Amino acid sequence: MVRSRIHAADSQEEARAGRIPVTGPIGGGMIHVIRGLLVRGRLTWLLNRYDRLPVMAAFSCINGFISICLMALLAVVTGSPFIFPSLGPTAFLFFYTPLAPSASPRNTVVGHAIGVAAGYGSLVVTGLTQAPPAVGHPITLQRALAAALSLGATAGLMVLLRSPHPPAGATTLIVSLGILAAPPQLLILLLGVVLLVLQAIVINQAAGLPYPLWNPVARSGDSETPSGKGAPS
Amino acid sequence: MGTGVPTVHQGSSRDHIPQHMPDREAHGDPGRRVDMADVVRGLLVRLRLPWLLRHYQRGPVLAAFVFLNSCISVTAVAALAALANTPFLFPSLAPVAFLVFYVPLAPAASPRNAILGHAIAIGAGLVGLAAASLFGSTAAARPDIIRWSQVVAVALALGLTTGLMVLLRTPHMPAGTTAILVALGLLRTPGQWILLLGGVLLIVGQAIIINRLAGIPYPLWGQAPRRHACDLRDLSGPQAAQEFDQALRERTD
Repeated sequence: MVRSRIHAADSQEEARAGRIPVTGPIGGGMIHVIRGLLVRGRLTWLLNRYDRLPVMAAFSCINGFISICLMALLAVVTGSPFIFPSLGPTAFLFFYTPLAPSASPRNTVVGHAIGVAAGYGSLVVTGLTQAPPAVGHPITLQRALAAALSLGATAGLMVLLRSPHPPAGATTLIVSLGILAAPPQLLILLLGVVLLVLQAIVINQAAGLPYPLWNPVARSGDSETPSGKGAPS
Repeated sequence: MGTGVPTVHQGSSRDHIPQHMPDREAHGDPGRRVDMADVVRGLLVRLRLPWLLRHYQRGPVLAAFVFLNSCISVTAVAALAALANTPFLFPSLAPVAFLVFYVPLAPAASPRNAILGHAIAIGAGLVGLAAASLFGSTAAARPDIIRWSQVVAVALALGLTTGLMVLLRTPHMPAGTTAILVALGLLRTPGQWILLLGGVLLIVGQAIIINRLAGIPYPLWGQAPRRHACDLRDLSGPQAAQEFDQALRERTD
């Protein structure tokens, strides 16, 4: 019963019931981040006066802009590749479904670390560690093999270690395609992921969400339906 | 839903499986989340190999499945690139390939969201480039060195992508990768954009074939029925593990 309610109910109703749902219609968990921040900023009239959707769109636009802008500024100042394509989906995940296990710090850091390791490992296996990046150049059979191996290994390891984080797939291809492949760059890449996680912790906690510091939060249904006893028969 | 084809079932209850979809709909069953475990189980049952699940731990079987599946996805896209004679693999295709098998019925994994999401991202990346007046620049892109003008380009591209995806109700998180790729100037020509969308189409096609073979109603375009809808929940929660093991016992007994 509990779970059926979670599936059927609108997230707003859930919020009224005092629970923060992990799932929800379009909003995912994002509406709670926004509401929390607006309450903190005494701006709740924004939500009362305007439709939810445009407010959410504006919020995610500004949030995406700020989080990536900070990383890009750091990249310019330090001259290191702190900005890379796989940060995009990770940032989206952090603020769109902050309480999903995929968006937890553990899954994010472990996922990207697996991606980097699998990517570099596949370069070693195919002997491409010193090869020029495959961007804009014809792809050799070796390069295709490296890409397939790295993505396969990343996906498999993420499932095996129970820390799935889909954007890690992009990370591993960035490495195995040679876009960023030097070991110092790979360290910077992981550091960039950690910095983005810190931003997510600050913003989501400021919004009053129980965003975890490391492990995923238990689902709201977990405590109430231990070993499936609460399910309808 | 013929004989032997598994249907999505409620893993955490005592009710017996297999049950067929129409009955479940009639009873107003909200359904449970559907994930990769269901895809693997469905395929194995169809291949008459359910003993694989009995003999092995679920982790390694699932891991082997995604390994093979990912290899197939990359090979298909690489073949497309070779056929188009503009050999190019895109990092943004990888999260798509993971998503469509990992949570096949999540709105984010539907063909509609995948294709529209990447199209939005390409547009947003171009806006970012234009705003940074980098558009048409012939300077070679160096992904490891970021210039000041690129700060505006990437930030604007990602902000616009996420904002538009929320506004148009097409959340698809891998699109963020595409936005940054375009904004960094790594994807420059219309041919590459079309190829990227073609790659997304290929992976979606693979998802339609494999998920439907497994008996999972992966949508042909729009989002899956609401009762199957789920966000990015996954195998890492304690409940998920229990659900799977329970379902496994029922399925294989």
